Amino acid sequence: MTKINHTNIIKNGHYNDLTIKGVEPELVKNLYDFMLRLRMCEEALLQEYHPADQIRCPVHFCIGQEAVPAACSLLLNWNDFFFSHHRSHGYFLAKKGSMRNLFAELYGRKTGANGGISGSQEISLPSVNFHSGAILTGMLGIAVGTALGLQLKNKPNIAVAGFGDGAADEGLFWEAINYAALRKLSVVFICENNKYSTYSHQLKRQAADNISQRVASFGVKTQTLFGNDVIAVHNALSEAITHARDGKGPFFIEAYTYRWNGHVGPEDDDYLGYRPESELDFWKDNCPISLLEEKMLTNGVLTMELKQKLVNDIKLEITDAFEFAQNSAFPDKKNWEELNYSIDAPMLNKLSNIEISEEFNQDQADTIPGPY
Amino acid sequence: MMQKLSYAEAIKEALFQAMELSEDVVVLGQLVDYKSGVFGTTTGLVEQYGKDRVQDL
Repeated sequence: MTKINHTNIIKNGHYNDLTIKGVEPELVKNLYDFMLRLRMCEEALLQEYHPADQIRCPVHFCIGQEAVPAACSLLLNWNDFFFSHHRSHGYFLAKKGSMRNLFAELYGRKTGANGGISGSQEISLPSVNFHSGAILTGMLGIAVGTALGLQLKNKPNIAVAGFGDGAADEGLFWEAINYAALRKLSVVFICENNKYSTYSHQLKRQAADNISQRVASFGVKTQTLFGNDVIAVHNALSEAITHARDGKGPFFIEAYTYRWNGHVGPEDDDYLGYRPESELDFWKDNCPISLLEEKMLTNGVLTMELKQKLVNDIKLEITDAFEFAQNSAFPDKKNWEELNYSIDAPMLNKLSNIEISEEFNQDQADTIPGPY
Repeated sequence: MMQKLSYAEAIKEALFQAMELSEDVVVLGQLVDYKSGVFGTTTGLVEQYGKDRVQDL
């Protein structure tokens, strides 16, 4: 078997290995529904961005990368922690965030997931332990720290970090992998390798395109796969999540995939010439939704009538989410204190009961000259 | 009269206070579970709170 990497995936030509034989039709349908819903949601946002200009934040669209979030949506429990990169709408929906909350957040309205002050890049849903952010590699560190906390308290839930190939450029990535292996933490690492960190090719940043192999050398279980085969992704993630839940330590998945749009939308960035047109064409031809749809139609799991009904339902949900966002109010002007997740700091409050001696010079840094 | 402590003693006291206040506090660092402690800043922590919460790293 040839090594899975971007070069070989394209060399092998059109992907024909997706199979739904022996897979529960309900599962196949759920994966398909999720991917189609996510695709249509992103396309609608992309289209609405200009010229309306009511979306008030940069948005990183995940069209083309629907398979991994779809698998997550079926495998994660509400209380599992998910720490996502900023191309996060798929994971937000996978953790059962609603389109209404997502759209309102992008519109900067107070009914958004974070009251309209996070926007797309930092959207979170603390009630279901979902967090995202632009400090991509940081997500591994935070997930590992969370997994340590879960282990120390004997909790059954797990932590998942979602990131891209760019995360492996940084030192924290390797510290997090090492510590997770050392402590056998219940954490699943999901690397969506889409070849480019913004506009930078993986081999411009790393000596070899073998992230999984390097991670495996730490004693972490890994699996590399073609990330647009949603059935394969589901199987791999299912194994990884079970592994982590059973307390067998961390698991690392590297799913090769591709983003269709510019790094940050809605504008196209292909005029920069950082990726060949033929490459984008290949990945569009190997779309995660159409690869599955083709098999479903052949096997009678899906009919064009069923698809049309599904499309209509999703359209209604999207229209409703836009209306909800557009009709919501902007947030009130707030005190900085209220913008924190928790205004109360019980630990600090306890400590501040300690009376500070009157002799203590609070301004010593200003008054005592020293070699600071 | 204000308590007079060396810098190292003050760090140690702060660590003890923090670990006492919350079970969520852990101390991770090189040699923090050795008997001598790191320049005396972590002396006694592992005996008091155990090796889960005080980890050599």
